[in-house]
Amino acid sequence: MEEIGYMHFTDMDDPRWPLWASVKRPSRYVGGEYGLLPPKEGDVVRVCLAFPDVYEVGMSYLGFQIFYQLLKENPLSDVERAYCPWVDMEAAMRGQGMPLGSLDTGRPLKEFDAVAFTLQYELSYTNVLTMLDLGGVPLRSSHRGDGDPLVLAGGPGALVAEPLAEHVDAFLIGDGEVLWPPVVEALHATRGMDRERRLSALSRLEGVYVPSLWEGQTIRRQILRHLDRGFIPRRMIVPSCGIVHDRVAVQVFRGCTRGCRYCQAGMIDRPVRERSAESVARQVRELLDFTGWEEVGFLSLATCDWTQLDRVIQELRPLLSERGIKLSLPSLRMDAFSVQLASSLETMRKGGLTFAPEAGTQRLRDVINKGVTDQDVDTAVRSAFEHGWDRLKLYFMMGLPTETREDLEGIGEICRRVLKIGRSMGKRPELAVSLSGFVPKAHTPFQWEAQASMEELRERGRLVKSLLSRERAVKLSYHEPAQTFLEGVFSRGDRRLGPVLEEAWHLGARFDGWTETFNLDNWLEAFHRCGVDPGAYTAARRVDEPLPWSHIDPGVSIQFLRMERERALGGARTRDCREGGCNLCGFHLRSCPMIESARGGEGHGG
Amino acid sequence: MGADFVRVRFAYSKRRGACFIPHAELPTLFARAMRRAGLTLELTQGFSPHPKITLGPPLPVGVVGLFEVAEAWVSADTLGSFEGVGGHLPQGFGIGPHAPVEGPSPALSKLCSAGEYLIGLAGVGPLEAIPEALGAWDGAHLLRGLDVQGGMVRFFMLEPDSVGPSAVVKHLISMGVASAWSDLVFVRVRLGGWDESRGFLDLLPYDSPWEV
Repeated sequence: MEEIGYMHFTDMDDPRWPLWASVKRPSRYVGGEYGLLPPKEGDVVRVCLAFPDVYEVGMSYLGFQIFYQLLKENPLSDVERAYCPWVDMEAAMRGQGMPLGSLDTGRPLKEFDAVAFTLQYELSYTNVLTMLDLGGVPLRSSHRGDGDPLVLAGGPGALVAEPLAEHVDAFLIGDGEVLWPPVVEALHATRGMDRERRLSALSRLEGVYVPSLWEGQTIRRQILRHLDRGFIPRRMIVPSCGIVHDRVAVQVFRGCTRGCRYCQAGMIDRPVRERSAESVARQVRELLDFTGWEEVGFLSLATCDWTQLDRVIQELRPLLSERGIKLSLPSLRMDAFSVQLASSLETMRKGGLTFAPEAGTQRLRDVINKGVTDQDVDTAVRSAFEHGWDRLKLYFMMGLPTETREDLEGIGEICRRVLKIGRSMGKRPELAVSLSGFVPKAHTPFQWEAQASMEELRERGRLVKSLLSRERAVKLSYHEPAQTFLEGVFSRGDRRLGPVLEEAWHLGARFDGWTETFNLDNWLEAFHRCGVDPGAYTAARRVDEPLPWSHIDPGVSIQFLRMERERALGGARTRDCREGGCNLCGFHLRSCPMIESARGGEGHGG
Repeated sequence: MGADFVRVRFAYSKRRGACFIPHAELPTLFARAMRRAGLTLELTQGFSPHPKITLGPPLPVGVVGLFEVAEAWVSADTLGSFEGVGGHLPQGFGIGPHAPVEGPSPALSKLCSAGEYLIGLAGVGPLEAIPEALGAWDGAHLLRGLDVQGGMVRFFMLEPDSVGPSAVVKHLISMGVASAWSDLVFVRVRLGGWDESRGFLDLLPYDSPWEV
């Protein structure tokens, strides 16, 4: 920038400035947030945490907040972050020949030792390719050379690795706190060596799946047994602009004992491991002081099940109240929503309330093992209205195994009943209902079931809509069935989908999880060109056929999944193992904390 | 519980990437920084209480702000921590002079009746095209003190709450002086009041740009 008299503005010298000035939501791309740590010099393994979605989604992911701190504290590693540029920024970058680099320093992805993606959602996979390509990293593992970074991937998608097996060098299966230290050590020890040796070092680690070097062994998920003995972040990066989940986040426990049969997270993240009340309270205080955030979220699969919840709420109540901090408890379970919990939340600043009945009838809820009765629904809703909420959100699924018209009508009945309860209490209730198509997931009892077709889902959605069309107080929203279809293909995919993914990406597929950019035509063309029938992935499978994810062991046994499937089809419930004794899910052979706790051992606390 | 709250007026700057954080995000951004620095903020009344922070007239993204003005209501017993807020901000933001507002005072939006601006061209076309184009602008009656100084066009513009840089840029583009925002270097040097006889009135002590 030329000197301009008495002032010299270097602001626009940043080569990214003209791009920032030309795109939507430029705040996604500027970085500089509070809480960043400076880059390290010297002999360190440089890792780029790459989230395959836009900044405001990626910054809401607690895992990267934890890994950032963990990798910064490790003397052998340094870490930066990258997020997927939105379509306008991608076009601008390509137009300017600007590579994708980290948000923190702008270092191009190709200059890192490792680029580590998290696979949270199947419809983010084309964004993985966008980031690799823009970052100067060859898309396929087989095309990468000694000078290219290793491409790693973790998160739930890593347990169904095959669709990305041609693009990812190594999958990290399990808890990052356990996996990262040995991965960093291996990468540090092999720094500067050829690719083969680096990958070989990784492949020898527990929980790491390197497709190119796989010899048929089972990869076991790595589990942090005692959360409070693992890495605990004492700081977080605070965004300068709004993000999806804009708050201090503390994960209060991992795993779930409820056994909902559709739920992949509940199956693969076992066993339950809780944080202690002291640990959570301390983290909340430290993180609120460090960040200045105005909201705290307690994260888990079913926060009401946390044995320490009430105690921690009572302990933190004065602090939160004094500072005007809002406490959010996402997706409360209806059967656990006690009057006592509702009343203790009432003293704090409240957000909205969301419940997930998931199915419209008791029969179908028993099939999916969602332990919620009609009475639980009424009690929970009544309690919510009593304590001041008048806006509720309910989640339901369509296309569940054995579903009938009666089950869909049940959704309408539940909604009408909720409104009636609210009105009888003098409220003007408003109900938001979210209806999504059921996707059978790998590593669950429903992994052999057929997925409802797009047309079937549309038809069922229309039925539910017609049942509620007279209720102005109900706002109905659906997930797009075409997206549900594609999610279903990749959720139970194999290696033949790798070329399809690339083809669709070349045809322009981007941000497939977003309705404004999703285009099924790209995918149908890609399937056609690659000679792959997508319907084969969403069809039913034989219970004895080999599955493309069998070599990855989350801990829950195939025998348990088969048994649960049988029980589902018979409408039999399986009790929560916290209450009804061990269900022999597989962890009974691996020192399950529930069993240890029952025996009076260390149990599941930290 | 009746804490004593003090209305504090402060200047802040937005530089580099921070220029692209939208104006509407700033109250939250400052509230968090103030909490980090140990300040207690007064909350608004009503259904959705939030920290009481008001901003001056909006600055569009992509415009450098050297001396923007805002106000926060902070508890008297934590006021001493205001000095430390600057050290708790994201990159690109700075805090400048600050002072309690004594006695009744109009809302900031009413006090900010003028802004001082600089525009330059990022290497395209002759600079003189800018004052020429501004002379032909519908909003030209809001301009004061238009001159060319050291490679940039300097002017004051009244009514910053209703007419801001966006209107100027739109006009310059329509006149062919620039083809896009990225052709321009736009800086708001400071915000303040305006008196036709006295000219620009600072709302806080201002010697010279305290951060360039």
